[in-house]
Amino acid sequence: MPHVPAVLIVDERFDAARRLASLAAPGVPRVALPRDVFDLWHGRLEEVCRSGDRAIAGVTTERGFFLLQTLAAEYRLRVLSSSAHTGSLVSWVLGPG
Amino acid sequence: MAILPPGVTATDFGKVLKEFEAAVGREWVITDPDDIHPYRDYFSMLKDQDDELVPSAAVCPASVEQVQAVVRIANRYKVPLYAISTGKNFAYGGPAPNLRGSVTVDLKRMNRVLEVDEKRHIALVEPGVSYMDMYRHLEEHKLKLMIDTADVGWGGLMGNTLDRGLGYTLGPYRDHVNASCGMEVVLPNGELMRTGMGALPNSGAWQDYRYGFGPDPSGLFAQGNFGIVVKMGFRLMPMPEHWRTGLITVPKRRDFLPLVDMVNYLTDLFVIGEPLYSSPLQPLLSDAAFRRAALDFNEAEMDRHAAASGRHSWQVELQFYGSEKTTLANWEWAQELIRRTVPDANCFAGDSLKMPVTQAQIDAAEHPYPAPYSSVMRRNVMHGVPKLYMWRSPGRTDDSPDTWNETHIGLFSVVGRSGEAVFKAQKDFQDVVRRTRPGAEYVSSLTPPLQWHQSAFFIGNSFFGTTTRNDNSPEGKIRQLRELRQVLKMNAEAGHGDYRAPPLLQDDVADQYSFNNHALRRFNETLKDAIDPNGILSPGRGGVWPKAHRSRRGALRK
Repeated sequence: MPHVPAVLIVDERFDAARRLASLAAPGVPRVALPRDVFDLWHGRLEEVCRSGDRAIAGVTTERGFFLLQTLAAEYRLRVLSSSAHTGSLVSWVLGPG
Repeated sequence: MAILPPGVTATDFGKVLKEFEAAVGREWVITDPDDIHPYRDYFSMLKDQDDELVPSAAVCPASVEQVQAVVRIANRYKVPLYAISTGKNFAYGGPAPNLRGSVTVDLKRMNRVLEVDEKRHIALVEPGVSYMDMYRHLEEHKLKLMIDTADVGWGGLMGNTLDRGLGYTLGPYRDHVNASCGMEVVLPNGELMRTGMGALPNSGAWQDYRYGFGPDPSGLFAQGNFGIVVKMGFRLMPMPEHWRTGLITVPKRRDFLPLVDMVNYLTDLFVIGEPLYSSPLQPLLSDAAFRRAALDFNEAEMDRHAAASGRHSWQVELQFYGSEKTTLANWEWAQELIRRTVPDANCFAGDSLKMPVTQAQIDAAEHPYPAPYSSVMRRNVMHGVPKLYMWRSPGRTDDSPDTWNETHIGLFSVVGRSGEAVFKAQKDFQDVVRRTRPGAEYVSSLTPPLQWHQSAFFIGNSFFGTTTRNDNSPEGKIRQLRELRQVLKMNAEAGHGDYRAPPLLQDDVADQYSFNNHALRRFNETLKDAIDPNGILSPGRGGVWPKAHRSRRGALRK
């Protein structure tokens, strides 16, 4: 992984997401995806994305991925990788190109 | 460089990009396909096809002067531009341009809240200010003002307003164009213009009086393509002391008519905020006999089922802003008014909260009313609190994870603000479904109007929905697109026009407004040709095509 993610966002409503997360990025600080991303974005993720040299990763539903991908694009973060899994889940990494 | 602006050679476009770089800085001219990706319509029905509405490049100016420079360069080379504020209006095409190959002018770097006056209840902002930004500004400075926010807080105040977005609080504020006051605009020749009192040098009333003197062109910039708005004033609602809700239900289908009349009366006296109509009869649709009656608009039979089930036919949630005493007096007055015409109406007191409310109060799980309830999202926006909820509509859902809706389009028709008009629209929309999908069963007799706007209703044909369904193959999406176009045409034949549309359908909606051989469109295009002779600003937006690109009208119809 060219960019070690600064944070791993996990939709913890799903057991499969928790399992995938522990396999995908061991040791990366993990944060639960809340129902409303407003505070998480402004309180933590936006700062990471603004830095321009760090990645964020996640195991979420497609909708969560779209939401965070769209927010991160404001700071020119790209989709570095994404993989669909059963049960509506996507694991992904967003980071500088 | 995968895509070129129409009519521009690769050599010239290379020069254009160099000149853009000189104007705004190299890093702010975006051409790499990976970085262009966010400027597409994520939910486009033409996604990944040759005619998908994608830009050739994006340029991100940081100042008014840089916007002027970009416009002047584009004019020299006749490069079409498409300006966005935050570009997050995903039910209406997101950031996608009307013309493939346009250069997106992304105004996100211009994101300053220039002024907020707590005593005059006004603000002046740049295009990149989102509802989230404005909310945080008010919170951080402890200003006793409210915003009227879009559903998703990443929308821009200016972009939403210029798309004629609507909201959820008091009428003058939830009509976002109505709440705007004063614009600064870069015209197609690069010149800077101010509207209203802003045209008077040194005026201190730019955000107080929108008209100034003489014709006011500010309406041309909403759903239009006559300039790039770089500053906009807004009137903000002062934070009231108290917020109260009440629910009124009426037993019979025809009671909807006096209910609407009463709500209209209170609305136009500015006593209530956005009312929320719904029908408690929805659960009865699982009963075959009731469903048949509802399909047939058999009112006597529907009333009989309603009475037998102990349910009322319609309800409306009212919200009152003011002091504790005035909101109580107005709620009591509303009850008195409805009982004058519908004596057996039921009235339920709802929330009664000191403002500003806390998030815990907004999220309160205990509902004071019978179902259906206001959604948590609506409870937030009624208080001007923007959110970033994961969307319910597009994408796989938690309830049905294998269902993947790749498209997302908002289409709502304007309907006269009366019970009779709603009943007619319900029948018309059911008829459209019958003609479009023979054999399909669609119950529209319980469809309530939405009153996002102070003085008009909006009704969506929920059969086709804001999120289109079914086949996600390219061919399937084209079929859906064709079907929606047919629906828009049929709606117009019945007298229903849409109020907004994504670029893919804007020509079709503009076609609806055809009085006197499209006199309105011809007027707009005469202005367009005079103001923007090279046709560089957002060609096709609002169905207005400049002479240089007019032959492209409807070109995307497959």
